[in-house]
Amino acid sequence: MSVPLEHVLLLSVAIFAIGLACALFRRKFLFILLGVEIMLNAAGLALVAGSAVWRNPEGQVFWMLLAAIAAAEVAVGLSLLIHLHRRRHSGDVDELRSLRG
Amino acid sequence: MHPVAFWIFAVTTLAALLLCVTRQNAVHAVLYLLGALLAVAAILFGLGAPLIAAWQVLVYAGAILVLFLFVIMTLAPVAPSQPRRMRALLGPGAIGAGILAGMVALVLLEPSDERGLTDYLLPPAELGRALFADAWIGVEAVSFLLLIAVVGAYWLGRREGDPEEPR
Repeated sequence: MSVPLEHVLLLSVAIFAIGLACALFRRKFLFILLGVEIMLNAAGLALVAGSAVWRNPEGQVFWMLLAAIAAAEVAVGLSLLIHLHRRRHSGDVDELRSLRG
Repeated sequence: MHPVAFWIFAVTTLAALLLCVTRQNAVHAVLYLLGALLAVAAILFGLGAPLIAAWQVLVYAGAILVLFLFVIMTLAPVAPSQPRRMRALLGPGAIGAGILAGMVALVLLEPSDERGLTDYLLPPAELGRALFADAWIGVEAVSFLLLIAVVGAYWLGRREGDPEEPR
């Protein structure tokens, strides 16, 4: 007995939906970053599940690239957060209305 | 991977994520996300990707979430801890119990011989071969992206008006 692909994809969709809701409805920049992380993780779970179904290492290879992309995204995102705190003394994205450099 | 173990991990993941995105305290949110990522790592292990599961723990739960915590504690000093009530430990305790129960199920309910997702297991050596022999151009592109991210993070994090910094 084993887990069918549909169930893994269902879990992946649920994780993605939670991450999307977090990124859309929270106004703190930190929670938007957390939501993006959650969404990337959902995509990675679907990739590894596909790799197991089609018996092909490419899904896991793409997971590795995805993890590197997530690390790059979070480094830039967190330095943007530090920048926001230094400029506006708050972590609210509604403060970022005038992005003129 | 037995469906029972999968669903225990799945429910634990979703509960931890729902608790994570509804927290007001950023440190609590990051720690709930840690629980969710550990449960997802166990699912990845069950899907025949042991190296990916290890990377999930090392990179996501280890490096990225520690970076989150580091930035949170740099920006906003954590308030002195108040006397802890037992009720406050209910959420983290439930997540930890879920992960532990899933691990026990994963070990006890060994997969049978039927065809399914479980009888696929990619050894780390083959994953490395696929990554560095076949997908090397993606590796190069991602390494360049990481370099750009390092430069960008340094540029964004510099202090305004520091005379030693080039503008």
